[in-house]
Amino acid sequence: MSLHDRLRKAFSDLERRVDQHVDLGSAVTRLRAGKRRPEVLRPLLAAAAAVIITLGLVALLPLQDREAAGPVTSPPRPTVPATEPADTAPSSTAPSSTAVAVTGTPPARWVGVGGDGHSVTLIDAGEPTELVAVPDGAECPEVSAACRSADGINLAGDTLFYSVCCEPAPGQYFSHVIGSDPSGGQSRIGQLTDVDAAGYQLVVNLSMPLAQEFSPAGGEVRSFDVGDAGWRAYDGAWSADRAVVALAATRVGDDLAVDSHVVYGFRSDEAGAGGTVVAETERDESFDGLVIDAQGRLWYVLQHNSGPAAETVQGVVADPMTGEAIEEFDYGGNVVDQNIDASGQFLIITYDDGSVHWRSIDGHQTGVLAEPGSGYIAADW
Amino acid sequence: MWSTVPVRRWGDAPTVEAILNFDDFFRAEYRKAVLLAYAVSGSYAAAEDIAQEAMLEAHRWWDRICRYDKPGAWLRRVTIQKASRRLRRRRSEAAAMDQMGALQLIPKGPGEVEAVFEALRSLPTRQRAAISLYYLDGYSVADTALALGCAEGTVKAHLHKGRRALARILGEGFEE
Repeated sequence: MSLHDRLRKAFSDLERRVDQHVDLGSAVTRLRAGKRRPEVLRPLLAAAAAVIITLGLVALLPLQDREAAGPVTSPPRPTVPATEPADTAPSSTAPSSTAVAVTGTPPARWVGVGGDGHSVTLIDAGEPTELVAVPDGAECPEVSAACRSADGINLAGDTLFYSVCCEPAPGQYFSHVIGSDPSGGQSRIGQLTDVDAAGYQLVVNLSMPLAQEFSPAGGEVRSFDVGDAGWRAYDGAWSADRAVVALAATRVGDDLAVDSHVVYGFRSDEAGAGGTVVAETERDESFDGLVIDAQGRLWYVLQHNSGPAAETVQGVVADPMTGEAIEEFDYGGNVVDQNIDASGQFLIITYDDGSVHWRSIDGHQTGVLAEPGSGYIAADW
Repeated sequence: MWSTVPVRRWGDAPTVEAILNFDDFFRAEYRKAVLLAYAVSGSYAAAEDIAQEAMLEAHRWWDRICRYDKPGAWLRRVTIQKASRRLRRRRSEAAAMDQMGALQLIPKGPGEVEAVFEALRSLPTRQRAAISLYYLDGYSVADTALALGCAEGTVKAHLHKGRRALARILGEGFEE
């Protein structure tokens, strides 16, 4: 069963149950009386007190003031997203104290996935050139726009790699040399998480509890086991010399709840033997955007999925083999993708407002590659 | 460029949809609000309460809201906001209510269905809301953007990320 079918089935089942158990007549009556369901009211009294007081104050305002106050929850209107990134790369608390000062300049060219996932673009000295127009998949036309389109991108020298989501479910990525015919390139099932300057590829696949390393010629070099059955790697990174590998993984537990996410650290001689858990989340957190910089430090995005911390997207710089945090900072916005250049010195960060920012690993150099609203969902250089 | 949400100004002439009275609006939208509230909050016990809070708010401001092109989009946005806030209190409040069977008006679904919603709740709130809107009503990306108050490209990004994460989480038993 495809992911799309499974989601459709789940929501259809929920709709059936709600239709059977929600009594519209009673709901209307309660609404007219301005009451909640009485059995729910008691446990919520304490939490509701503040709301009631707030509503009461609004009700006491003169009419003109009530008009000015507007609805308690404002109607839809154009607003600046709460997660708006700063104009410059994101962090007033960016790590810098432990990093060796970066010299040099960031790459002049980068590649991005935009156009709602249907356009892979090269931006060279500010000039965009579309490299690939990603077609919708024919597999699930009812969700065409979101069903099959690019969602990840990597650049290794002149070779472009881009991943597509979400059918087939394990992912698929394509590669070709920039300037050549994309149809003459290669493809592989799996999700490409990192590629080094020589073209070695680190690939995860949700149908297998491991990550695999492939050579530029396509042969499997090593694999990295992420533990017991059920665990699946979904992101990864390696050091410039491929001697250290970090993988993020998760699984669904026996109680059907999503277990915590973990980050494993591997040394090259540990391939196949299982790595060390170096970071573990609470249930409502996840890891993303793993990269390892030129100094061998692991960077990742710690996303709090609920609770007050959900407003913060936390950046962590850590030792990839021990998990010891070296620095922590706030990205200042919702990060949807993060990569690092071949030198391991310049991060390229894509935000959910479509903007692309860069920063040096010492935090001293920052910049904006694409403004908010540019529509990018992933970028690399 | 922050948003492509079209907004009617106060005092604009009401559209055909806007001449619906509140009762019609309620009957058309309430169940959907309950569904959305559950998908976002993860609490069967709280879902109806959240939907009713959102409806109560719509009722209070109906003379304004009825002038919108799509009052339903306003309701969804308010429902998502309320459900997100409820999610934050879930451990101390709604989760406790879920364990009290007598209050569980909406019964749980089969295991494979519950697994989908459990996986859905592991996503960031915006991804969860985008996927819920998309699959609940067959919302288009444009309508989802309207309800979330963000640009269509942002919705696409949330859908991309969310679907990929779900495929990852629900990988067990996937038939390719």
